[in-house]
Amino acid sequence: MDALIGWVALAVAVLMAALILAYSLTRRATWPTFRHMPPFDALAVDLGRSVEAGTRLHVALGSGSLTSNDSAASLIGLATLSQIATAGSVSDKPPLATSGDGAVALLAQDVLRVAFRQQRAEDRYDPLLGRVTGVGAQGYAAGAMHTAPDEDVTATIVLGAVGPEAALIAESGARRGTVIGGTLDVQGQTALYVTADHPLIGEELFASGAYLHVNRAHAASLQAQDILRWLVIASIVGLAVVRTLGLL
Amino acid sequence: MRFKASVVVAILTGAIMLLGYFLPGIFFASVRDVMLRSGMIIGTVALLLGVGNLLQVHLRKIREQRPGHLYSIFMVISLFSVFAVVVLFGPAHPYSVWVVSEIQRPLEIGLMGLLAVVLLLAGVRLLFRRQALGTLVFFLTAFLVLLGTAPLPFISLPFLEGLRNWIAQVPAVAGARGIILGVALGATATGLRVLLGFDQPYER
Amino acid sequence: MADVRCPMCGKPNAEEAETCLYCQARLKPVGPGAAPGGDAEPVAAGGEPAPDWLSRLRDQGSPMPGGTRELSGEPESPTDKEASDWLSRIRTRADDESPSPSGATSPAEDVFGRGKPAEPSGPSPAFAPSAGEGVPASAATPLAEPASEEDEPEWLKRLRARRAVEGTPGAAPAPSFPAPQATGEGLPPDWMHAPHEDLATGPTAAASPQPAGSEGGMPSWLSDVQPPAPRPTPVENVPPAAPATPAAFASEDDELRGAYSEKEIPDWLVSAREEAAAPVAGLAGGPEAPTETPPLEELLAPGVLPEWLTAGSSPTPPPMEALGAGLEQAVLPPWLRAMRPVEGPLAPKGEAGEAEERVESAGPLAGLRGVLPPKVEAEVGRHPPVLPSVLDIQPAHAAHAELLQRIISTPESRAVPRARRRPQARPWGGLVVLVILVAAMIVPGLTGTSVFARPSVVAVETLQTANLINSLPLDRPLLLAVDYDAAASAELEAAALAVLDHVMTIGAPIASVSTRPVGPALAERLMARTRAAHPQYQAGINYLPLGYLPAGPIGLRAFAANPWQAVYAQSAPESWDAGLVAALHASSNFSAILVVASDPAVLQTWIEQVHTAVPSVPLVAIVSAAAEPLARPYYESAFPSVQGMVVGLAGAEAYECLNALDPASGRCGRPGVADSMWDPFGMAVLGAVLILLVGGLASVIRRGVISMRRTSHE
Repeated sequence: MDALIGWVALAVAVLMAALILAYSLTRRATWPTFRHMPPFDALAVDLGRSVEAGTRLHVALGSGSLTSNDSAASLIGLATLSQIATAGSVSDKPPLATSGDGAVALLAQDVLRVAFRQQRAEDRYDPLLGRVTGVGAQGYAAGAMHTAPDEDVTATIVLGAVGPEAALIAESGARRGTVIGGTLDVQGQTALYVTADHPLIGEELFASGAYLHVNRAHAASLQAQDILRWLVIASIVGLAVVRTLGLL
Repeated sequence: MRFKASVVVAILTGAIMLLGYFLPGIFFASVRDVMLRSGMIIGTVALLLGVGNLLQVHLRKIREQRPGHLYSIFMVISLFSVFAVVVLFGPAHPYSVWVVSEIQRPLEIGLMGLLAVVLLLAGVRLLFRRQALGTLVFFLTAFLVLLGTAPLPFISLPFLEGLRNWIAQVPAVAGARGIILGVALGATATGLRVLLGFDQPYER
Repeated sequence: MADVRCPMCGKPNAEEAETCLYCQARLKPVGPGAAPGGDAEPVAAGGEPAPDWLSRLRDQGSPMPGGTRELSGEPESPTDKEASDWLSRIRTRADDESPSPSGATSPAEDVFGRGKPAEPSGPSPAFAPSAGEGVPASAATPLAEPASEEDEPEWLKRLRARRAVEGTPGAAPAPSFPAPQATGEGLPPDWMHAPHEDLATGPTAAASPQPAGSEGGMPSWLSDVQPPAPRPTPVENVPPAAPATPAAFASEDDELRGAYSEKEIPDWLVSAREEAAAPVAGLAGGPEAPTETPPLEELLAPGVLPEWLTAGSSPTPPPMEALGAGLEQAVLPPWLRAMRPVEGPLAPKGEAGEAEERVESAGPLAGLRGVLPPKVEAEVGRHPPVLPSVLDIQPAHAAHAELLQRIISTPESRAVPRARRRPQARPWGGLVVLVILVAAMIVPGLTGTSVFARPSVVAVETLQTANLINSLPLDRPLLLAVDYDAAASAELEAAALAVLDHVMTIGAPIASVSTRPVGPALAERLMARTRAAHPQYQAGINYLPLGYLPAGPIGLRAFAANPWQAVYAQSAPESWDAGLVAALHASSNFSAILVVASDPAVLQTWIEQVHTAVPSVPLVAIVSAAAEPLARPYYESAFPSVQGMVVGLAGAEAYECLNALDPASGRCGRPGVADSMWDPFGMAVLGAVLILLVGGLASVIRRGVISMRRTSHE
């Protein structure tokens, strides 16, 4: 077990070094170029359409909490929400964020409030734009699936800690407009693959901050992940070759 | 970079938890225990906050007489009823167990049944909506796994069971491991981003 | 609180803000008592402490009639140097030549559109005293210091010498310079309006409305260079209504009048004076007095005008008629003519004067009065005046305007890209699927048939689980983690009941915990369902319900450190087994950990947070079929974190069979919950397979039909 902790510590140290390096490089250079990802193009289109048509965007942050394993998904969802809210706060119907956890809902309210303040539209801010639709996975899905018809939603963005129940939210949202979905849960990904118009597969969810230009740390983080990903691939291939040759 | 108190607290907390995991000494263990207990309290409060927010949303719906506000009235009554039962008798009391067994469990199972119907329909529609190689692979895999899971009447086909097990244990596990590795990297990077103060989701 | 709009960027700011929040432009003028809104009180009335220089001015000038400082004989202040001497002399002489009655229309105000009476309503610049406190310091300068010969410009000296030679009436004493009787705060500084205002008006500062058709919107410099009006200025005949000019002024005026005769004035100055005086004549209605205007050739003679004024100008400019010869008059197109207002866009009365008297409230000119022409002021962001014009609108144009208004005001008609909506699922589609699945599940129960074969092979992980349970020590509790939602209870309860039945059969004590709020109730439900077969398991005796563990991984980490403290942290009920309670003070005291989870992430959390802390305690996972691919790596690893698994309904069926296996016949004896669900489950899965098959075939047929149609079209 000590060896395992040692390997974990090494991995964390390498990732931290890569992150710091990428962050320092990114701060001096221009914004890095990433490969084309249609879901984020669709998100920009939906956002513009929402502002133009005066309809609402629904950002489903999932039922995960900040203390659970999938808290990273919730944080990514909040970062995405900040960009969406900044652009969509000028819409007749500002974006609506739903969550199944009280702390995440509080953070969503804070993100929305800051976005409205940045757009000089604080008078239009409503705290209940960040709301809890139900506690627990099923309770959250049951409440969130009624958000699209009740709130005149034309685009549903499922980004956060959500399981297979995401299919219910996505299916409900698809009847009103487009659906973009991404989660860390593998079962949730399969559900979103068949129900969402633009699913985010695997860890593509972590790229949303960089693609939406949240801040340079997100771009640096994505570059650091790429570095580590190549290291992991090289390690897997190398170990497989060594094991096949009987050297280990 | 303009450092704020919340940033310092976040960095210190994360660093202590991380060091406590890698260096399980007496100092870190004791500090970590305090933080863990505090975290548990915060988690409980977050649960209450969620319930409070949910109540707020539905009370507004009732007050403004929005469409479906009758469901909100029912929801508020249910919320207070269940809360009263659990507080008065305890979570393991037969009354509380009855509420969960006879009300919540059927409701959630019904929702899962609805999910099954939705996924089945969506799987079929996917063939019409997104005609690509990936869709075909997805559809065939789902079909074979279901066929291998289903017990067949009167006969037993070990070949189908074996195929299902192979799909579930080799390609599915390989793909899932790859995804989990990527997710782990992303989650660690997200945590480190917060830990290093590069990202401040708690204060913008 | 009312917002104040920044004059530079136009954004709203708090009323009390000194500078703009967005562009940092100054919102309030530098001068004391000034307010951006333009409605500041006079300095004296405001109670604000006046600066030193203003206090000195008040002390010096206030007792004197008219407020001019030369009356008190005070020396010239340094500020007075700002006015050029030649301009002061011109101003003085012009004032002498055209005294207008007090309270009558100020010609200069008419010329420049300043018809607004001077009121202490505008912001007070730093050097502008309030009403009744005397004239501005700069206005007093030319009066206090008569022009000396040395200070005169060269062209004026030459002109004077020429007059002296010719014997023109230039030896009269210079006229006194009457000070304005009322100097409002809204007036621009005197060095700006002195050349026009003082030339013609004299002591009156009371403004009159500008007559229609006058040069209301014309800047002063443009008015100055206009050709002289043909009518003579009747200023001499207008009776003065202002307080009489003191004798001292009169003598000085005479001197100046003598120094600068009428013929020495350049024509641009004369024209300005005439323009200024013309409305007065109209108002007064008096007889028009001829004005002695020197001939143009004389004024344009070499050496008379300054070089800067003559530079670039032809000594004999061609007449305008000659210039315009051969040019045709422009003809407006009909559509443009239709848009011309019937009445000219007249500025409201006093508008230009208001602009002239406006005090700059921001920027480097903050506090200065009337330094920018009215056009500039309009560009700063003031609301344009409401023009009392009537448009001659054609019916076709009106119809177009109405159509445009309707388009703008109707939201539905805006050209907004519509969201692509997925075609509504046909209601019968979902209904058919639901009917098929429900019928498939109901039929076996109704018919009582059991046609589906039970699993013929027991999975290795299930066997390992059974072996592990068989080897459990009976003096230590087994930890049961009920970590699934009620939605997954149908699948997982069957497996959990099968394993718990085995545990209770061997008699191992059980402690239950959950990281889900409904977990304790679901655990109690599990125990209640097994209690019929195992009545010895009562709370506190062989079974300890530890309840809900909040905060997910954090709670589990704390639980691994000290289970009792993490979930209970108080004394146990007296009826509870003391030995069991004592065992809960360390997670290593558990005989095994049985995690029932529908979400693989929950199993992962238990492994990472608890099993890594107590790796010696075996961990068994009861998971749903959907979670198997993600849970299996932990079992199949070279260093497995999971020592046994029961997967889904198939695993539950196999475990039940193991529990009730008849060794003699090799058949499953007592059927359990999983066995009762086996046939409905099989039918439902077959129904799902059928739906997928039909859907797949329909998709293939549709594609074939589409391709055939395309082929036929081609």
